[in-house]
Order: sequence, then C-alpha cells, then structure tokens
Amino acid sequence: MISLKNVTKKYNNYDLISYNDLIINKGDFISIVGPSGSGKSTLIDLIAKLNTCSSGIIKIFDKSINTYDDKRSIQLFRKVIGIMSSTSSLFSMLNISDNILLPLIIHNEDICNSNFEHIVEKLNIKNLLDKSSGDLSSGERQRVLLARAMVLKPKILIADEPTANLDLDNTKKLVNFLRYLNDELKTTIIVATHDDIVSKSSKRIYELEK
Amino acid sequence: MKFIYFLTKKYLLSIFTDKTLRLPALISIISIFVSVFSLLIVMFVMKGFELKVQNKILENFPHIILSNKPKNNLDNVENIISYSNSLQGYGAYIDGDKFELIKLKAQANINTDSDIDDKNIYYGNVSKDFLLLNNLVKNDYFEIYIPSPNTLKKIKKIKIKIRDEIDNSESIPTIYFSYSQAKNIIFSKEFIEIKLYDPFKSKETINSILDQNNHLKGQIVDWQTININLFNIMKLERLSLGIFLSFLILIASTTIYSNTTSMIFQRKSEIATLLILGAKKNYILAVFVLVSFALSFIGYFFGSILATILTNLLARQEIIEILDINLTFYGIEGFPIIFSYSYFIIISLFTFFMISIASFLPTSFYLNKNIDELIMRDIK
Repeated sequence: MISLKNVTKKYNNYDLISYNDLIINKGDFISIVGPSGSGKSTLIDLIAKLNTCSSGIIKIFDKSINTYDDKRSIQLFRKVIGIMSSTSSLFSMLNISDNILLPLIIHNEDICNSNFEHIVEKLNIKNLLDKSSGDLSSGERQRVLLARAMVLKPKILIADEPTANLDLDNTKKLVNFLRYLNDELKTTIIVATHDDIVSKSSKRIYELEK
Repeated sequence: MKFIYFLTKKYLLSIFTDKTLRLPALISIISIFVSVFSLLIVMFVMKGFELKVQNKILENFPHIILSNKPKNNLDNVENIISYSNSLQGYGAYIDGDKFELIKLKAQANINTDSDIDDKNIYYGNVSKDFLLLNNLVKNDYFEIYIPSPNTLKKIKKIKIKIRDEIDNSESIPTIYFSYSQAKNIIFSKEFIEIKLYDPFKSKETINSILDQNNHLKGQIVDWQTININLFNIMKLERLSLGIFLSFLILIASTTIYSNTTSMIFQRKSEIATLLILGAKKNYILAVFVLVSFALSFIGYFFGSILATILTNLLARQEIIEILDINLTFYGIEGFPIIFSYSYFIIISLFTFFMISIASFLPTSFYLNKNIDELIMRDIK
C-alpha cells in the first residue's frame, strides 16, 4: 500500500535524514518512534505529501507520490488519506459539528456517505457539537481533529503526535479509538509518536535514530 | 460551489464578531460608502444643474436665430412651432446715483399697441424683479435713456408705461415692446427667432432651412451653438469633479486591499488546513475574493441607496427655501439635483471594477503564489 525506498531528506544542504526502506501493508497500524529531531514528523509529512523528499521513492497505492500532482489527483489523495497534522487547526468561526463536516463540504459528499454519526458516538463528542473550538480542552480538541480526519472514511489515517498534551485517561480513550479504527474499520494507521501507550498499541514500530 | 458559498458566508459573518477584523472591515465599508455616496450626489447635482439651466434656456430663449430674412416661408419646415421677427437693444435706467442696464426687446407676437393713446409714451412688459427693486407697479411710468444715432446728443430719454409685469429669465432687467413701437427706439438689425418642437433637433432644422434658403449660410445659429461655451464649461466642471471624486473610491479600494491582506494573514493556518483537507486552491481564492467583495458591496449598497433617497428628497422638497439658497442669478427654481441612470451605472461599474481589483489582487498575490508554502515545510 505504502512503500519507501532510499528516501532521504536534506535540510539546509547539510542536515541529512536517511530513512530505512519501509513497506506498509493494508490494515497495518505502525508507530514511528524516535527521539526529538530524528525525523518522525518529517516522515509523516513526506507520506502525507506535506513535504518533498530529497532523494528516493515513496509509493502510495503502487504509484509514486509525485504522480499525485494535478488538481484532481491531489484532491483524491487528500480524500482517501485522513491527516491529523500538527499544522491542522479548527476553524474558530465554525461550530464543532461544521468543523467535523468540513471535509464533506469540501469534497461535495453527502452526510449519508460519511462516518459522522458513528465517529461522533465512538469518540464521545456528541455533547461538543454545538460548541465553538475555543471552548474545547486539549483532549476534546484532539478527538475532534481525529473525527474530522476520519469523517470521509479514509483508507489511511496519518497522525502526527495525536496524544500530545493529553492526560493518561484521554490518551487511553484516543488509543482505543485508533485500535477500533484499525481492527473494525480496517483503516491503515501511521502514527508519529513519542508516547509508549500509543506505540505499544500499534502492530509494528518503525524506529528512527538521531 | 457549496464549499465556496458555505465558507464565504461563515467568514463574512465571523468578521463582525471577530474583534481584530471588525474595525478594519468597518473602515473598508465606511470608506466605500462615503466615496460612492459623495460621487453620486455630486454628479447628480452637476447633472441637475446643467439640465435646469438647459431647460431654462430652451424655455425662454429662441432655439434658432436667423440674422436675415428667409426667401421662402418657414411654415413648411418641419419641427418649427413658431417664428417671429425680433429686435434687441440696450438702454439705461438712471435714478439719482443709481444706474441700471436694461435690455430692450421687441417681438412681433407681442401686441401692446391696441391701447396706445400717446405716441410719446412707450408701452412695455417689464421684468418683475426690476419693478420690485424700484417700487414700481403696473400702469406706473418711468424713464430710460436709449442710444439715438440720428440725434445730435446720440442719446435720448423716453417715457415708458408699464403695461404688464413678466417673469424674467435673463440676467438683466428686460422690457418687451410691440414690434411697431420698438422699431422707433431699437436701432439694431432685425432678426428672426424660431421656437422648435424638439430643440435637440435644431441642427437638422437648420439644414432644412438652409436647403430652401441657401443665402442664409453663416446667418443662422441655434441655441446649442450660442451656449456651447456654457455647456462646455459645465461639462468640464463635471468631468474634473468626477475624476477628483473617483480618487475617493481609489483610496477606499486601498483600505479593502489592506483589509483583505490582513484577513488572509490572520487565516493562514485555516487556509493550510483547508488545503490539507483537499480544498482546491481556486476555491479558497474564490472564498477570500468573495468575502472581500461582499464587504465592499455592503458599503456600495448603502452608499448608492442613501444617495438615491437623498436625491429624491432634495428634488421633491423646496430645500432651496428651507436653506435660503439664492439661485436667482442662474434663474432656476428648486434644488438642482436629478437622478441620472447613466451616472448611476457608470459609477457602479467603476466601483465594482475597483473593488474587484482590490479584492482579487491581494488574494491572488498571497494565495496563488505562496499557497504551497502554507502546508509544505520546505519547497525544493
């Protein structure tokens, strides 16, 4: 489903991150772990097409990621890959319900074809739907971001530090949901994390060194 | 399209609740409102003034003047209502230290001869203003001095009996005599005054007259030619004011430009999120252009509505009397303002053009060019 071969990322022409070859199969749940600065978030960004590699090949659905370049294919790419990135934010002028439904509006999809009701119930955020994003706690915010990433039933979920700033209870709730997505909905999950609870729950660990 | 409509609506509504965006947005709206309102009102006043002066000229002055007699009868020339022989000269009214220039006119269609009982007294219809200023009433007598080329002194005094008072459209007091009496006191060349059904077809009528009276070439002139300098000055005045006030819209557009720029910078992380969620670049661009355009449109809408309402109010009410404005010099009545569709459309189109540019340029410049930088950590 996803493969990385001889991938490197060069920063400022001298800081080089080299990634070991990696193959992620359909239904995988892989945690990318490593110390700060080891390139976890960079790898997530490379797979999510939020960054470009300096050399090597990244393939998604057996096609080089560079082929997803025209308007139509990039839109399709964003539709089938749910991203919970560090650059994602909630829209202050929308209530939580509209924030979660935004991908449906962007891709002109009907709410009937979405995971909305199901995800809202599973993530226990029904009581938040009419609230504004400013009224949420960190845990609630992370759950809403996850709901938005999953509302279009993507085949792959890519999450960058999904449990950052969460307490133990909220971390466990979120991990349980990731397990549910992987086990029940067969969603392929790639998570960059420094959290042992998350990495231990995943099926595979891809470790990076500094 | 649903996405564009949805986000445009939400962003637009949020501007009025967001403290940092509210003030610049209000400044943009007010600046467009003030500039559109001012431009429309000024142009409507200029247009109204020009029309009132033009109507006054058409009402009170001949539409065509012939300085020689036609060989053929003018009855069969189209567009002519009436024509009459006329004489025009000047005299002076002197009362102690007071000296007043008076226009003397004669027209064949004015008949004041029927009740003349003294050949040394001239009977005239006199301007109302002149009578009021000099405490004279109907049937009173007064004396004026006129040029007299056949006498030794070259000047003579004549006695005038006021037969009637008239509303004068001319800038100086005027006395109208019967044609037969005027011939003895006005020594200018006789001319023919023509009134037309449609004064705006005066050129065509002149051509028709010349077709039958070729000898009149160079001796025939219409009201448009006589007043060409006046109308040109009014046009120039209108044009220069229009250009000057257009700068207001230009300045207002710069506030829209800066407002749009600050809105985009404040929404950078949201734009990045939209891209990550798969929104098309053109759609995001359209949202911000529409939000900015809609804000400006609010200003335009209220500016044009208020200008239209005020124009109708000023045109209907006797505002001149309320404000005690003296327009007697121009000989016009009521406030010189008129709603002009052509000006309304021109100003609206110009405003739409300017606000479209002011909305599109910053959006295009910052989003079309740099949009990838919002989500890509670095670009090769």
